Amino acid sequence: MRSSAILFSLAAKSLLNRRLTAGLTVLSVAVSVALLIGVDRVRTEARTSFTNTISGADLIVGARSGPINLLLYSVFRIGDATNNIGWDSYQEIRARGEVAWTIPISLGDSHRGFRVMGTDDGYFEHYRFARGRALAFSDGDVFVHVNDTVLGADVAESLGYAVGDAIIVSHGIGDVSFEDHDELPFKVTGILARTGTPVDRTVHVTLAGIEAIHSAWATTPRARESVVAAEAVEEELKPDAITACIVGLESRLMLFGLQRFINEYTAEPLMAIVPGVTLQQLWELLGAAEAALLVVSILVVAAGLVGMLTTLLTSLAERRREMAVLRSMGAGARLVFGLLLAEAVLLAAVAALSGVVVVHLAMLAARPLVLAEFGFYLHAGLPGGFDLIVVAAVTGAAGLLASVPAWRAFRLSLADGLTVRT
Amino acid sequence: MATPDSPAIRLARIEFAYGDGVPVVDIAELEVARGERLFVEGPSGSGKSTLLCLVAGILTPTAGTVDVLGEAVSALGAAARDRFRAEKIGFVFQMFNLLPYLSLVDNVVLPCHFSRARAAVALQNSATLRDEAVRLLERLGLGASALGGRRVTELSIGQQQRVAVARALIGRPPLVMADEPTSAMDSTARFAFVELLLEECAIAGSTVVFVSHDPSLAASFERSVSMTEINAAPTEGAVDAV
Amino acid sequence: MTYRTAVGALALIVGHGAVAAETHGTHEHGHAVLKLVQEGAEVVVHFQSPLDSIVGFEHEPENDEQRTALDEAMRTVQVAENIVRLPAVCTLDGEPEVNVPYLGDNDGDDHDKADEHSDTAHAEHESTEDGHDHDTDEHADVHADLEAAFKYRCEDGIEWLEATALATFGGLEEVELQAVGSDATVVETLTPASPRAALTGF
Repeated sequence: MRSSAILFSLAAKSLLNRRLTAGLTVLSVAVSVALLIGVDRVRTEARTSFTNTISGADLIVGARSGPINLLLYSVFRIGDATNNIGWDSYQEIRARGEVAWTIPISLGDSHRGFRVMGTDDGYFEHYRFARGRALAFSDGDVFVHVNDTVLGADVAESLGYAVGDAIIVSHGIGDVSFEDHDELPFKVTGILARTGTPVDRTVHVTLAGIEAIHSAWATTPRARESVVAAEAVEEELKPDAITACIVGLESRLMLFGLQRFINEYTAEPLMAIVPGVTLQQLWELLGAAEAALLVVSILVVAAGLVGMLTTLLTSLAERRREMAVLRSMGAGARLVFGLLLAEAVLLAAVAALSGVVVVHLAMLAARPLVLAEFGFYLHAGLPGGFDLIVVAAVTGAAGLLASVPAWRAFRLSLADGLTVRT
Repeated sequence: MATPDSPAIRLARIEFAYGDGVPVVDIAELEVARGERLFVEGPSGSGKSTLLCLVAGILTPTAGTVDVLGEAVSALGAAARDRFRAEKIGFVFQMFNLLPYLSLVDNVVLPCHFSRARAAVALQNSATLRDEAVRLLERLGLGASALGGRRVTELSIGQQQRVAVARALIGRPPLVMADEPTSAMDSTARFAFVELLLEECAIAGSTVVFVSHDPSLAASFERSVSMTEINAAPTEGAVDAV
Repeated sequence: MTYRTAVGALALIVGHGAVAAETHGTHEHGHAVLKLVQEGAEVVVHFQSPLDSIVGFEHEPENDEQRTALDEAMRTVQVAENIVRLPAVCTLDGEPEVNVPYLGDNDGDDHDKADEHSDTAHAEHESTEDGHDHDTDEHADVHADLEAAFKYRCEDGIEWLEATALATFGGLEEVELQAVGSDATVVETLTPASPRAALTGF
């Protein structure tokens, strides 16, 4: 007998005939599956993305606060620093024998919603992301003058800037007016290639540039010349402090030694963190919340499946006649059982697969928003192992749950025979 | 073992009771010859439907034996009875014979999915099962031109019943049983339907058992038995709610 | 001075004060930190534990029994196997660097400093004998940590690490491992029940 073929063909046609209720069931299960996969996907994407944001940096140094806080504001541009590193302390760290290079980071200003970061050439030379990739320019070159700026790919794209444009940087974070800073115009000298990290959303200027924004220098005639090399005014626009710095070592073996030196630094309270270690600690911290979220999404899937069970059970009453007709043609009560099971499995499989499709489309759509709000890049990759596991689990669970109405239908059809008894 | 000269149906001292133990069918003897057209008359609750279930092997008697086409159906296991029913018997019910989610043709073809033997017979007449279904529907006045591809649920009761006949007859089962197939029709349609059914069964060579509460239909049949006469069980408690 | 070898990396890692201020991060009794860093074939392991979890007190020794306990601790932590075990591809390279607070002869340079702080440490400790988490109280910030650093050469990948300190010192409940290699970082909390960590990527 081709009983399984006829089973699924009957089940599919029966479902199509009830496309409204079946469709709603599929929708609710699909949404719940999309939620579950979405939660997991965002979780893993956030991890990969955060891990890919910084690479090759041995230590991050900032004012003493929480390690996670320091990591978030210095690298991911999430939150704000509560305190700074004195310029002299930075110079002392920089001069140490173990230190191969440093990247200063000075935050606190913004340009039309994008963060402005003061730094120096070391940034373009030493900053690495995504397992060792260096920053590249899609257009133009490194800043040279006090009021030169290098834009991240997203900044240039969403604000429509090109090399040679003049922009105005304002103090403070947020999409506010430009009036705060006496309108020192910055000239775009370079645009970075896309990295998929917060770098894309950063406006880079020289440390002197940051000072210039905050000092009366902007009103001096020299500032209007637009050609003052940052080095020429190094003393004049020497910063008092920077927000944080990234440190690369001559040898990684010095790592914990230098970390200890910085943590015990007496001139001011500093803190050095190992980015990888702190990221792991962040995951550990988030682990419980993630687990809770995952449990909630699993419960939502369960609720969706129970909804399907309810629909199947309610449909039974009106389908007893159908079962009797099938029985009269020689269909065993087992086929009736199988028919309901097949319907549930088909529903769940279609729902789960649509959920997978929906979530990947949704992630594609949400990508710019997530990047803007949370600073990480959602890779709408191909469905992976977890997706398959979820589809299989949901389909399996549906089959298991549907054995309840299927068993009921089996009993009813045995009792009914050819005539429906009410 | 089935033998060609065994009767189509033979019931010997059969009793049947549902779980409560009160017998609803108690028939000393009933025999239907091959090719015979039997009319079973009886009011609602006289055990007619239970009788059909016993013959079809959906129910097994609490006592006695049911032989159908030489096979002791009452002695078979559940799966064997299902198989036997699929191979040998075509059914027509009072109403709602058709699966609403299948097309006309798919409804008619359906029994062939449960019985290879009926599929094989159907394919002797036509190239495909669907062709055979279309041929039968046309013979019953339900050609594509008449119906214009309508859905099953859009047919009139009379049309639905004729589709049910086509389905019962596909693959020429040796036994066709009809359970009040005309009760939802007006009297002229009723007689026309019975004539059509008998004519088609004659062509197929099938034995016919026709159950109805309407004695006026008995005239079209070779033999008529009354349920109240052959069934010794009390009529109350019988189940006939179709 | 005896144990200050010429290995630069180790010299920097291990502090030499008797008292570990809160700048070292957490000081939680029963909780030690094990750091591992890998550069090529060179591997440095640094172990830091509250002294209390090793010898049962955290102040200047007051009697012979406590002095003996400190000596004993000194002898124990100098043997790398008592603290950490690495696969056979790793061999110890040079002398360990060890600091046991309140032990007069382990580091001449900082001996005075240790003395200086010892009274405070002692006084503070009397009230916290119960061994509760000290770092919750901003003012109870005088603690003593024992430290040990070892240098290895590993001819092949380090596949795993076992914190044998968990078995050596009954007072340790947890060892937080922070391992940093060229391609991987492993942070894991090891316990006496599962003292081993897989170092994938090292």
